[in-house]
Amino acid sequence: MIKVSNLSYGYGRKYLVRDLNATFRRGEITAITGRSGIGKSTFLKSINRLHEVERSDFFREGRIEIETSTLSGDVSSIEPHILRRSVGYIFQSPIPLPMSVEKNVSFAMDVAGCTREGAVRDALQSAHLWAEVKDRLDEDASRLSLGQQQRLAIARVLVMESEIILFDEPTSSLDPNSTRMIEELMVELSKEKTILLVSHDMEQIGRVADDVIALEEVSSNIR
Amino acid sequence: MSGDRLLLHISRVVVVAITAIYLSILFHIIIKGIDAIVSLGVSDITPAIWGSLTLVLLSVTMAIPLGVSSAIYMELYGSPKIVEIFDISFEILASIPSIVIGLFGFATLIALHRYIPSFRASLLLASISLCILVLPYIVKATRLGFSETPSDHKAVAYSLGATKEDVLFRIMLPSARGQIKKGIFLAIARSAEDTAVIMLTGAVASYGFVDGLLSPFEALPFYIYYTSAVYSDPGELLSIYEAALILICLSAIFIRLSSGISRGGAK
Repeated sequence: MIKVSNLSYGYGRKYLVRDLNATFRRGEITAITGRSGIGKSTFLKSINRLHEVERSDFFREGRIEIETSTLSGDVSSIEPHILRRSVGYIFQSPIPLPMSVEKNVSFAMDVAGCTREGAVRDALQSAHLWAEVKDRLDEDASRLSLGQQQRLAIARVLVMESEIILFDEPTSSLDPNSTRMIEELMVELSKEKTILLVSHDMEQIGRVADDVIALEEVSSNIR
Repeated sequence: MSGDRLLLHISRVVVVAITAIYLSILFHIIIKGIDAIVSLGVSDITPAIWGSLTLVLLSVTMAIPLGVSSAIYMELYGSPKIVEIFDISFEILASIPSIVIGLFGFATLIALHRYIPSFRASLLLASISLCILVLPYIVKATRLGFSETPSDHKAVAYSLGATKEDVLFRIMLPSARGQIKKGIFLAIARSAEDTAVIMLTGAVASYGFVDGLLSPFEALPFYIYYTSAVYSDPGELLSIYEAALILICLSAIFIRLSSGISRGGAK
């Protein structure tokens, strides 16, 4: 679960969003919408603190509390790398790491220093990718199709057993068939996880989301 | 004739001319060098070969960890102000003539000699001075390699729970490997050929085989420099070509070895 209380954030001296309150529950897909540049991706990145590695002028006020089986509390009180293992993030474009398919999936386990028999296979099966890549595990991941690469990105998150997954326009660069597969996957995963989906596609939101939050322009955006 | 075609012809002529000059120099050295090896043997310059080998190995071995570590600090940990100061410092260091670095080594020698009378011009001092000379090549090459690492890859690694150290060792260093290798090649070539630094810090014309870090040593570039200034017969002149050919071969071997090490490290 994620609970956001009086959340305001932005860059430099400019607010993007002010006083946002919301609760995101396990078993639901919540879509985040709003015009381009309003701060949808920034909102997702403020949950797993990914903005900290991208921009140094980000600021946040208010609270973002998460509750999973392993973590509880405000995200600012949790070590970023620990937090990100529990809060998976799927980028807008598929970004395979420059290594094999298998190593892409095991990367998160390797950095966490843990091993689990069959974990890579389980994650690829859960991401509906195993049948397509079981004979290509040693191949460079960049040789997969875009749709396969995005499902590989989901497998990378699933191997961490993240209970929260943030999808940042995950189908914007995919064809209709791959989009359908990712949507089915999101719906399937939402039974066990908390899912946030940033999307401009209202039809997609209608197909998969249980709830919608529309981010709006702030009336006074100077700090 | 259009401007494009004229430019094409000019650039083609320039490339051919430069290549021809380089090849003729190389060919000249190879012919003369082989002639010298056949007629003189290599026994006279064997101590200089060992001296050069040891010198390059020591200076580059010192410079690699220092240079890569400096680049890592600047990339991951330094504040923008500190990084700017470091950048300017390495730019200045890269542009200092090698004779000034040699002079710095010589001044250090004089200062230390006051307190430690047994400290003298030596292989160690020359290696440290050469290390300072080639350090900027490795720092700049590593920094360039890091800057070419796709930011997307770093962001994905962080999103998967990687720490700065994980991103460094699993994403940035493998990605920067090619540039670091180029920096090492440059450092090897520079430390193998430099004369100005070693003539002030430890190289001598005649000492024999290297027998310790704190002893003087012979080296091929210094042998070439010294013999060309004082030669008294055609045989001595010919031995300069011999030393030059062996110096070229040594540089090529070092570059080949470091390339192999880089590839092995990558696996």
